[in-house]
Amino acid sequence: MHRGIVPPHLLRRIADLHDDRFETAAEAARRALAECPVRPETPRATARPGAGRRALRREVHDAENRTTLPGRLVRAEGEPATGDVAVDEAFDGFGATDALFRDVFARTSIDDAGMTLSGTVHYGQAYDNAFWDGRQMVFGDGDGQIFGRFTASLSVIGHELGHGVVEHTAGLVYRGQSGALNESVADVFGALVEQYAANQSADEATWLIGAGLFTDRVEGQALRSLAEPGTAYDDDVLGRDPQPAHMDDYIHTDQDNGGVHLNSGIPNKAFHLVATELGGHAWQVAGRIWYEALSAGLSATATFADFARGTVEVARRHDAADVVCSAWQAVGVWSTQPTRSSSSG
Amino acid sequence: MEHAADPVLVVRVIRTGGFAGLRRQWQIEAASEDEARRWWPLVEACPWDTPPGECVPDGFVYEVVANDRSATLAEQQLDGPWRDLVDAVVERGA
Repeated sequence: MHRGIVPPHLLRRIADLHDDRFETAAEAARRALAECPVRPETPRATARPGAGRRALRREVHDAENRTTLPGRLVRAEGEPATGDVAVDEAFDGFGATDALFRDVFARTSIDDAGMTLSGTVHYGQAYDNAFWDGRQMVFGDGDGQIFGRFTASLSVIGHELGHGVVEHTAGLVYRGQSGALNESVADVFGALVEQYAANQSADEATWLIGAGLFTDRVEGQALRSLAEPGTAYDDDVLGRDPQPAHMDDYIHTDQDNGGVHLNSGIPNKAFHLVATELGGHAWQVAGRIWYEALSAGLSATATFADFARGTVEVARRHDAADVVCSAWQAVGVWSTQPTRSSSSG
Repeated sequence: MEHAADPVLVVRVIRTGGFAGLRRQWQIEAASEDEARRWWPLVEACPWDTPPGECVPDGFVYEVVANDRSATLAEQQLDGPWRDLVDAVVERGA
């Protein structure tokens, strides 16, 4: 293990591996971390005293195909891999998500007070979903025809934990624009978790949410694309990814709590524009702007425009206000020109 | 018997939301009076005046329509008679 070449977040991931095959690597990583205890970030001055350094605690439960939560505890912090792929993916995914929030945003768990990251896998029968129930994450196995298991994509795990962070910060109401913003921020966190774990720059990243969830019977690479909303799938049975990428195409509907999973494409695209325009690692500046705007007094009923204003204010401190402003204009949240130049749709 | 004159019953379940945000729809059509009679107990058992509940993030939203009655339900509200009806429609109307 060459200290300094492997980034600390990767070392931490390797050190957390409890798998016989990687025991030598994990040991080496633990030694390297012990030799180099400096964390890349210091906690925010506003962090609660004593809470800032509370260690990661994870719990994964097994619903055993029933719908009672949380189910049977099958893996707690410090325990070795179980061999159940869904259990271990959830456990590792919680670790990867915690690493982003802890290292980059100096946030200690979902509530910034070190709460245990808790999840349940094997929820229901052929259950095609994953959700955040206000206390924990829940993952289905999928039906095997359209969807495989929902823990298969790290972006999904990051997304669900992201809902937890939204709930403990702005508490965005899950309906209409504030709901779509809630969804979008969860997607942004999901994408960032994946990029941080893979140490990818903005132009290397896929910007896909839920890659690998579809079975190979489905014509589609993922559920959503932040880079190109509306292009993630196009399938005979499922139809086409309906996400808009511009306010001109905002979908007014009563379904899906007012289209929260649809209109989230608009702020998703804005984030992608900011991240790719700034270049480098998206979590470093673009991610920080989004996180700070979310957690600095944003209203629970915020519109896209409210959030856009918040991000520009934060971006001034990061010398990125112009880029952020242009991105919100490009997706039509702020109008500069009477018609858009994009020809999508 | 309000429905005796109209033997045709259509029950539709529309599921939206969920992590994927995919819209799925299932429907049964009872063409004959006999067939409709087998569905009516399931329909009648449901409390159609149920107000829509708060959805958890990425929870499914169900819209259930039986002829002229309809209700919108969060996934967590889907138990008892609602669960029985929706499961039956999803199973038969897939």
